[in-house]
Amino acid sequence: MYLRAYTIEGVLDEVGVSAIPGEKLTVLVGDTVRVRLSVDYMGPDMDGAVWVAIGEKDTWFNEYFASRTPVHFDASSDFVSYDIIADVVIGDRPGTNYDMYAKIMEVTGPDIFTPNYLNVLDVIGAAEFRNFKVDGYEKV
Amino acid sequence: MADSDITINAPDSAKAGDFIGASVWVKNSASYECAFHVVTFLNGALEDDSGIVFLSPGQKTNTPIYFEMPAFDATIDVEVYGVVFDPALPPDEWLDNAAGHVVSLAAAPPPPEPQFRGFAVKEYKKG
Repeated sequence: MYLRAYTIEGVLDEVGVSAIPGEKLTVLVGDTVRVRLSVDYMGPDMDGAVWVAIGEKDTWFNEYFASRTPVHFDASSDFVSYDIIADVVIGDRPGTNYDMYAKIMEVTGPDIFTPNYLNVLDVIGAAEFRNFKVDGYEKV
Repeated sequence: MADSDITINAPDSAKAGDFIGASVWVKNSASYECAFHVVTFLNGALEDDSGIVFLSPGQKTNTPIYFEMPAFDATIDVEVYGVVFDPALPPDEWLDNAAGHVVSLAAAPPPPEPQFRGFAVKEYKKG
């Protein structure tokens, strides 16, 4: 009989460190979630920003963690694809089944929203131990 | 005065709001005095007229033109009327003998209104 020790990082490695919409990612408090987005744009040269929020969607979207990333779109008369990377720092709010959405803001016209992505993130809090004791001892 | 004696240097196109400079060179290759004037039209309406310019035999002159393209669908026509100067005729009748040379400038269309499509999350991972 032997004891196998698991670390939280080891557990996270087993559940995966990247996900696509529809899959769930598990991270620790203090981690950064890197979100990759894409959009096609045509129109005049324009600056804006991408807002990514993680939280819980009920009647409203309650944003717990969020980030703002400046973006620039070049003038084009045809659609051009852009990949956007946004980093969201996960604060001290452990929980499960967090939701996510993103929007393009600070551009001409209304904000542009992604769908709401539901149950995409679990956040594990700081490591805690409890009930550490000797349950028995024997000759081996 | 033949058309080959008239040269108009102007860009092929322009955007709305661009300031355009064009130059109209006219050389009198005839052995007698000639007169011409440069007329510009904005969307077919008279915009400017240089007035009548006289040229001695062999003389070459430049008439500069400056204008701002007012809108994307604007067209500027530059026409040069050259006439044989006949002092026996009144100026109105000189135009009856006009030799026109036309160049048009059409402003390029402006960029389209901002449009986005397919905005979506592709992936998220532990950074």
